[in-house]
Amino acid sequence: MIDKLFTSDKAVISVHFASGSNHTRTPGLPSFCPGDTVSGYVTITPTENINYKKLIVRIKWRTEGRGDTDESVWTTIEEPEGTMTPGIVKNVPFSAVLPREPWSYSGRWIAIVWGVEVEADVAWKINPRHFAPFILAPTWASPER
Amino acid sequence: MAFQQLPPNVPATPHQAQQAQQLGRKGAIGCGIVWLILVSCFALPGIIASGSGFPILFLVPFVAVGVGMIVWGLVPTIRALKITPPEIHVSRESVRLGESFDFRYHQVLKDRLDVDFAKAIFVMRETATYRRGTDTYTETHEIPVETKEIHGGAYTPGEQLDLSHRFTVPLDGMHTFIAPHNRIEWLIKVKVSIARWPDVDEAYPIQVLSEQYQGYGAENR
Repeated sequence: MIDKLFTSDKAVISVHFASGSNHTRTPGLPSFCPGDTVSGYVTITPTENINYKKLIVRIKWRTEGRGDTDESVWTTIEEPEGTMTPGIVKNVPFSAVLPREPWSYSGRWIAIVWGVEVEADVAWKINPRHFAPFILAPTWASPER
Repeated sequence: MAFQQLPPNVPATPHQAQQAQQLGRKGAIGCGIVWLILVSCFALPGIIASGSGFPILFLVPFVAVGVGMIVWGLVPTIRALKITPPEIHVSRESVRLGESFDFRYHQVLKDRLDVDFAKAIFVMRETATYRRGTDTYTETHEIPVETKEIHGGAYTPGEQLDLSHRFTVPLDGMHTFIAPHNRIEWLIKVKVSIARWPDVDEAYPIQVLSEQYQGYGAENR
């Protein structure tokens, strides 16, 4: 309910991964090994005119669960000021070599979630944003422990 | 790594853990002494002036806090009257997943003691810290992996309490992860329960690397 108040409906954002394999335990979630390259593109379909100051694509990890959130941005791709018009789809490509750690993890109180975060910095309005998770773990390790 | 730049003030090795424990005990003694001095300077003169009875009863919890801090700080010293402080050695400070390491722990008895049990447990611990209002809470969850246990009994002077063991990090485990509010740690927790004498309850961290051990015997685990 409260989340909805802070969610923008000015654009439909989706992330398409061009690399990575489907994880066996979490189908539909792309999986990468440490040192792999995560690449793809972000699709933004605006529903109204958006004048953004910055368009940011971050490849990052964050913790979820009982504790306060810790997060770290691994790579940032920034597009300078621009305008998006309804009906015209904007694509932003991204690519980064992933680090060795931390691996994706899902425990009792802590989860480490890797993902691609997209955010359009819009003045005086709620920023349209989206987070698309993926798994970073070696093939022999399981993120669900 | 980006997340390693975050400021973790958590001991990473058994040696650091021992130093932190010693520092904590000394700090407690210091705080206890300062507390008792403050109590005696500010509260005692007034209470003496007002006579005995309820005012003295009011003073008891304040004195108990100071004495409690000093006693807690002195526990290893008191324990050392009958049993030597633990001697610890870990064959490697950082290990890979699937790798084994030797943990050596022994204490020598100076006097006759009845030991209820003594065990060294290798655990993976999740620690999550969060704030609600102005209070900070910490939740922990431990997954025991391997235990070395010595059954209790009567120990005579000169006898050794030996908890040495070769532990192995599970191949499908998680590496050590330290962030400001969330931690995944590997620890060897030592618990020695001694009848009518202060117990040993200490934890020594083991750094687990995000690498798989490829050496001899790794494929069998």
